[in-house]
Amino acid sequence: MSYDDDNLPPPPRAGAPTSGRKPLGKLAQSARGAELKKARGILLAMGILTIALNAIQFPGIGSQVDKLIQNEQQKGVVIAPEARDTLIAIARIFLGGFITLGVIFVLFGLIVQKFPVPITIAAMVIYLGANAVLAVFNFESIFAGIPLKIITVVALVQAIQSAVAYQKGLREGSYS
Amino acid sequence: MSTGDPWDEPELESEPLDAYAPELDEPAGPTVEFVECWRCGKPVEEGAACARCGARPKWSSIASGGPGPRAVRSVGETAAVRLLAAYGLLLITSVVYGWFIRFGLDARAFAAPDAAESQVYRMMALEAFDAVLILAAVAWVPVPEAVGKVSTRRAIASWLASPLLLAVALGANFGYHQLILRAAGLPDVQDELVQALGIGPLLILSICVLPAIFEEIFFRHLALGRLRGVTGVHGAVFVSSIMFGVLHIFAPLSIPILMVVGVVLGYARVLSGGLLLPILLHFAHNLIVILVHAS
Repeated sequence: MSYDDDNLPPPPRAGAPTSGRKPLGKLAQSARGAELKKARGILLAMGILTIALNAIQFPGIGSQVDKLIQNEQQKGVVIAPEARDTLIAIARIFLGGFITLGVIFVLFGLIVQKFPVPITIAAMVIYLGANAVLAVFNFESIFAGIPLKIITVVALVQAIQSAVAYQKGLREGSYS
Repeated sequence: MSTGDPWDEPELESEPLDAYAPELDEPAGPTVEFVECWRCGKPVEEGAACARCGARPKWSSIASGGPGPRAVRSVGETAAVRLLAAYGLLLITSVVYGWFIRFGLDARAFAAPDAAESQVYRMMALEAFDAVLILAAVAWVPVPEAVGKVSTRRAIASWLASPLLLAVALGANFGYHQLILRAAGLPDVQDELVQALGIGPLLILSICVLPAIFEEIFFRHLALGRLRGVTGVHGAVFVSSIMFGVLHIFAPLSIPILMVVGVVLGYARVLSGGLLLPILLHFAHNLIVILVHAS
């Protein structure tokens, strides 16, 4: 069964009493603009934090891999010597990937006011996806920093809502 | 102003009010406000029972002196929330599948044909479960009707260009994976799976047929169709392809290139005006990938 948004009744004729919809006042406009600025701040902060946290781990990859190999060997797992180089390469690729993600979030923050809706939705999807990838590697990572994650998700949801409302306002001519 | 492009957004254009004059000849009376039914999400006259599901308006807030039945969200926002909820469920399924296969890094998984076969059965189970979720999402998420037909010339051009689109997607995919696997010094896990099992109907069904049909239904029909009204055509292709790529969590190194493949499939959907072309492209892409891995 198909359904579309145009099932609503037509707009009233000029002069007929309206349903009460008025163009947004200046206060509402500035509130929406402030929400978009908040979204920009969140995306920039997420990006810079992601880049910093992952870049810091780069020099210590070798020792972390050695520790991991030691732990596995203590459990009785036999690990070939060449596996060390492979694990280091994989770790570098993943860290590089997360640093790239941080750069993407920074770029999103810079262009969010130009394309508010697609950028905020894309940021949300990528953020959830990155956490899901970490969860597959290590389930406990879901709970690490969970208050910050919840705040980030809530802020991104608000950013999406503001972006949608801002875009609607632009289309209806409420914004100059 | 319409340019004849069906992907323009005529629902945003203002039509002359004279178009509605014949329906408004009677004197203006009390205005009617439409709100969203709290149960099914369809538009319902404020204060009236829903004609679709029979839900009565919630009057508790009026009794307490509040503003009355609330217009919770616009219909579009309800559909978007449902779409994202359905996507969240698909993402959780991918995470669970990723736990089971641990990205295929365990080479012992392919040491014996039985192990490879069980891997295919796991993939089949994942695809079947995803298919059920997607069919439920199709029933649950309202999709806007198509804005208009794509011109015949554009549709023909998109079909003629499809081999080029396929070549772009495959070239990007193979090039990217070769680069990543060489950088990491990893064996190609899919090579081992395909060579252990051979190309059979089970593999083709689980890797080529089911993903082509159901992923296209979700991402290029539901997601793209729903997002188009909010983000525009290009924004909808962009966001739906990101959603498509991220869903493949069980192959995290492939996520970036799958987003690119998603963009190609998204524009195939937009230019052809239908789902058949992206479904066939997706099927052909996956089939060629496993044929190359088997060789």
